[in-house]
Amino acid sequence: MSQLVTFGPGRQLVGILSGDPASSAPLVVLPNAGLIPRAGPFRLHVELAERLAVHGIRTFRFDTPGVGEAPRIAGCGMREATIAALDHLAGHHAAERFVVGGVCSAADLGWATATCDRRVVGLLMLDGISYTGFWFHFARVGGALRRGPRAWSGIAARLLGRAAAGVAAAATGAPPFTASDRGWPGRREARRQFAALVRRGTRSLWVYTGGYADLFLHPRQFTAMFGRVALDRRVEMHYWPDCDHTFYARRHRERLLDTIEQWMLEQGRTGWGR
Amino acid sequence: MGEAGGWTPQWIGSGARRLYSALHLAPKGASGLGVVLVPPLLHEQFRSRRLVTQVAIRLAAAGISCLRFDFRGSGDSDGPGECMDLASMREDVGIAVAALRDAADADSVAALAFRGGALPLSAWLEGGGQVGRAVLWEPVVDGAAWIDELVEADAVELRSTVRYPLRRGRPVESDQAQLMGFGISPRLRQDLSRVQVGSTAWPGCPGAWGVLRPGVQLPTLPLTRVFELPADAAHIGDSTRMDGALFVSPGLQRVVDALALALLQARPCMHPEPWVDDRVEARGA
Repeated sequence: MSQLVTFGPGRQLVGILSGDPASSAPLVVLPNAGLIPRAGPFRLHVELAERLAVHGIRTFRFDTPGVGEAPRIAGCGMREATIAALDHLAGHHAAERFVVGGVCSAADLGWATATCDRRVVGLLMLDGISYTGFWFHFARVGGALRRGPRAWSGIAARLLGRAAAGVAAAATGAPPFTASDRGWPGRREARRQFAALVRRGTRSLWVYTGGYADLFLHPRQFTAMFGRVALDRRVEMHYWPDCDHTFYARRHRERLLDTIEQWMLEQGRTGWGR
Repeated sequence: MGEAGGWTPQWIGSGARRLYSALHLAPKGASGLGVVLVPPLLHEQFRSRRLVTQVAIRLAAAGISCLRFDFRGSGDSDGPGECMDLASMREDVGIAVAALRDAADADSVAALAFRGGALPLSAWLEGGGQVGRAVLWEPVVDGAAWIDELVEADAVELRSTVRYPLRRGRPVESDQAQLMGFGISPRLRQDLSRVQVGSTAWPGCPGAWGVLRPGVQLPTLPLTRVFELPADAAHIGDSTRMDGALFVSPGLQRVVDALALALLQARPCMHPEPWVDDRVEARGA
């Protein structure tokens, strides 16, 4: 049975806790993804909670301040709210270890929380941190070549348009999208942080989708971003170019749910934190 | 369960299939009037989550206790989307109305349905459900036409090159068990397609009001009062995307306040006086 939980400053935030209260597995914490309320994209979080509850694994989904039902709270942003959720679950629901993450901004929150809180032993990085580089541009050029000469003029026009937009944005002081818009660290810092997370035993499941094509286009991009640590046994990465960013199609959502469920069970078998 | 920002999250209903709801109690000494907010359906429910919450907060501040809820198989309520059909939705409306009557000690309850929420509300009222007034916010009136629109919009999403830039227009296969990204039963599609709001009398509801865009006419509905939405009011139904949030704008605040005042003023007249559709009477004769 799911349980309603109020937490945070003045207990103004609301979350839903599912699963077996006696479970010793890490509790999966799912903040809202972007502006989508806590039930998740197309109820992804609800379906994941039901899947994991079958194995007794607990999940906690909640709205961060200013999203869904949650009021804006002075001094309490997304990261503070996530830490408050962890504190509340630890203090009132005997949770000691957590897996944090989700799609897009929820993945960012997972990363930000994990780097400052050792209770986070697992990360769900669904279209999370990404840095372009050789393999990204290689895939982009390859894709353009495969589309044939008739498509090249259109591609060139779009690239020129983007360049012009970048120049215009720079002229007005409004930079185009950058990693810093998502609160990501610089590439070198991210690599260092990830190595430290893996060293301390943090497990992570990464999925990049075709809906993230502006940032991720080739599976080898992942190793290029993070180095040898990306090949560690505690890191699992999938590239699903046929899926969109919010897993609109039911069959894609099922694939994601299967993958997360199996990943959680596998980590349970091999031992979290090792 | 404690309060969360002036309202209380709670489960209503019983057994394994509970409904998520939020109770916004009016301050003490309030009117004894309550409003059940019936949510929009599918992607529109997610898009409007914040707007509906803000409307409830505003009505409660005006002295009207409110209850928001999610239909079984939707939002945060229990159950998969496939368990939702018109019968379960009608039952859910009844559960929500009863829960508000009990929790707020409301002697008079109105229903405020947003967009597609008008379809199950109408079905519930046709079955004898009783409220003092129904308020329909940009209602979906023709269930069949709306489902057709959604089927088309769903197909557009599945072949969208914005959503699927690497599929190059090759559509994702779909099936009858999905609509607008949500798992639903084929039965729900059929059920909603049969609903025509206003085509059958509502014996337990004395009258309906509308909250509509200027110039919108709903000739099939005998609306006795209409509140016009301002230009800055969010369009719940104008996008298929659920990753946008809609808010109560300053102009919309004034409309909600006017609606609250009108509900309070009309309250003495909100005892069920059956609305008999004279067109139905005429056909019967």
